[in-house]
Amino acid sequence: MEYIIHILIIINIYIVLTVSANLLVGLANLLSLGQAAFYGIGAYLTALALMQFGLPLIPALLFSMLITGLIAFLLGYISIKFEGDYFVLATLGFQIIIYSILYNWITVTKGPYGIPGIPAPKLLNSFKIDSIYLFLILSSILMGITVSIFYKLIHSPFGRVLKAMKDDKIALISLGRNVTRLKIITFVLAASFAALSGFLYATYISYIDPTSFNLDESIFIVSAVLIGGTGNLKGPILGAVFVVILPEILRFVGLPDSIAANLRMIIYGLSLVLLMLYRPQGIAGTNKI
Amino acid sequence: MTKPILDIQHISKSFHSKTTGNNYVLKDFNLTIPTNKITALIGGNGTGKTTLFNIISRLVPADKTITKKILFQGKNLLKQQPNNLASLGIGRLFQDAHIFPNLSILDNMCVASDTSFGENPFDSLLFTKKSKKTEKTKTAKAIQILSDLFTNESIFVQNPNLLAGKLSYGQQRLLGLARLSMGNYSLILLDEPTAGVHTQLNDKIAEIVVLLKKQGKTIFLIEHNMAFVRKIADYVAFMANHNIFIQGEPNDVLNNKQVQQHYLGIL
Amino acid sequence: MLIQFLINGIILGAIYSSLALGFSLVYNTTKIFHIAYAVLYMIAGYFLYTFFNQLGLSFIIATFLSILSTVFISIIIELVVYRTLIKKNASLNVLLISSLGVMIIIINSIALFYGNETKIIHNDIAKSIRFNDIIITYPQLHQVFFSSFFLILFFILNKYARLGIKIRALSNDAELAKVQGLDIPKMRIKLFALSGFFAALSGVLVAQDIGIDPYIGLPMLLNAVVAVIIGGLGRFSATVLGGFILGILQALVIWEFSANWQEAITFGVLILFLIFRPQGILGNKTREV
Repeated sequence: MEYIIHILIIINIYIVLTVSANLLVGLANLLSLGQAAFYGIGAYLTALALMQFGLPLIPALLFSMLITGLIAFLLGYISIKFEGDYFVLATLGFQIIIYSILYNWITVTKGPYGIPGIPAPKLLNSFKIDSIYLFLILSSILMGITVSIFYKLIHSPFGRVLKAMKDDKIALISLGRNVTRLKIITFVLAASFAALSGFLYATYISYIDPTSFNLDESIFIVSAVLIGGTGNLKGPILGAVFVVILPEILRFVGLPDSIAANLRMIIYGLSLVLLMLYRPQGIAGTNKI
Repeated sequence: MTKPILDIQHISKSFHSKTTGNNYVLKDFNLTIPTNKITALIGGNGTGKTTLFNIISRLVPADKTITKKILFQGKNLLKQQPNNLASLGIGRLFQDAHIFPNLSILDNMCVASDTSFGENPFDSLLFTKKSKKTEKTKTAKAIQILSDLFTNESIFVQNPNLLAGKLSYGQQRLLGLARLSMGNYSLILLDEPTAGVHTQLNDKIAEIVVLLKKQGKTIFLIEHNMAFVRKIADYVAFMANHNIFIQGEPNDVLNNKQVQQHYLGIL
Repeated sequence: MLIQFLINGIILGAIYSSLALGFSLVYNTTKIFHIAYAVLYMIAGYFLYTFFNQLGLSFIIATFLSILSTVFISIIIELVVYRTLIKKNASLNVLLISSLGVMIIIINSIALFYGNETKIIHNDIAKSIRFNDIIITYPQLHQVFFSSFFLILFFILNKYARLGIKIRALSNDAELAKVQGLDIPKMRIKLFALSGFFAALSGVLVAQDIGIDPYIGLPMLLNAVVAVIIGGLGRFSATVLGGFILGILQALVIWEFSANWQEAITFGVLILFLIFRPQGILGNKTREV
């Protein structure tokens, strides 16, 4: 039973990651390979907020999201000036730089040793989120809030103008819209919510180290979005469920862990190639990238 | 003579090629556009007309010359960001319309509105009342324009939620024109509005352009369709050799021997 | 001591140059961000391992077969994946993602069959030559000699042979080249063959030096991409220059700081170039970055 709850919590964490990445990749057509970096920054800021400042839950969460958003604003401001492949490269570059900082700046982040013992977050001074059931409730609430926010955004004038930007940037500029500003806003939003996932991860697992937030993880997040589907809400949610459940199924079927790890990556890779060939909008998505 | 709304001065544009050296597309180009009239810019293919439009729209830089200026109602456009032109009052129709294929007809119209309020997350999420009101106004204006411009049987009125990508080439062109009524423009640049569409639609296009002029707007258009130009233009400028060769009343220009030679058979 | 580092840097630069050349052969002409190129580098080493260590063929024959097999795989990727997608008018992002999928499939298939651990080609300690305090191993000599040899051969071919002229025509203007009668599909196969050759060459030269594991491809590819950007797009000589500069730069970083920050600084340099000099050192076209 606890095992199933654990899976549900991880699914919640990944839904927030994929839904936020989808705004960037699926709606605004900005293929970023840096989401894991913001996921990681969010996790480390959470540890800082809870352990150094002793903040309760909501302030710690907001702290993590806002500071990450600020960092994303600075990096986004630079990256957004690049088109196509160069944008991908810039985000990849930032991903690697941030990972390197998390890994090597041992005095601050403890590097590869990681940060153990992240305390359970406290709601209103006395109520600690310290059981797996409470974590399920917390993660589900935060996931639900995230999903409804992004649902509103996708179906709002903001979502509409993002879709227009993806269709024809030049036409949108001639209609007076500030495309640069739109891109930066999207970049910051995606990063801030990746930080929310970082908050959940840090408080749930209570141990973080840089290897959870490397380039492979960025590729993983983007793949989940692309496989599940881009442009709407169903797609990313399906993608998150798919990438979390698949390894469990392989384990369930009895495959030894060593084979399962590589096999599921092969399945992801194969899904990506087949979908790009025959259904580039993903399984349940609406926008082709 | 009314004050010109657009004053183009000393614009040059060249492309450098390793094999052929400096190729000029525009060479010390000058032209003034009279207010609230329909001015047509004509001339052979590839003579730089679209490039001129792209320079005005600030999508392409003009060559660095000291005297270059494009004055719009007194302001020098060459100092403006491309997305500022719409709020200054300049609208543009590109060749091939460039509508948004994955948006509905109605959404295409709404994105073209003169106010971008609501188009950011804060407005959408926090100021819900005002956002909803703005949306209602935009949608109502769009529907009004569509029903003013098109008949009740037209697809624009019958099915405004249809994805614009499903429209025919000609219908997309009409949508591109209709979109221009959503903005608050005083000058509209039209790049070959009749190119590539059925001649049956030319009358409709002319009707819309004349209507825009009636609303007080100035039209500056590029065209190769001389019948169309004869029909609606108040003023014509003919381009050759990277500059204006002759300009004036439509009949004077179009009946000019050299212009006719140029368009042998097309007139 | 510094000179030892610099010499190591130049030798590494030779590998970067030939690896980068193979990548830019595809990128400059087809605009495809050929991420799968990373696995060609890696798989050449595994072919060598299979032919030499497992099947016991002579080293020269094993090397020859490895290069041939890798070239074959390179062509297969073009025919099966890229060509199909281009016929469907796929966007550049879709091409990138499919390339990524192919990379994921191949890396994990290799890991599945050969295991994750590092494999060594030569078990004995390599011989080396000495000048005063400077040591250069035989594998290093092979690396710098064969890389330079084939690089020079390529430039002669590029300048004088018909193939070179066609490559340049394709890089400059694909539409025009087609109109002038260039058989683009056939040309592309030759390009991918040549590209695969340089990946394979670098792959076997490094494999016999430090061994192989399934994950060596992507980091090397990223170095190659940085070399291409630093050197400059549009000209192959720029790419080669970028390779040597990167090799020397990394050697200096290790000399001055430590190996830990090498990745961060490499990508920091990349981003600085993207911002301030996107056309690279030997900048050619003013590319819309």
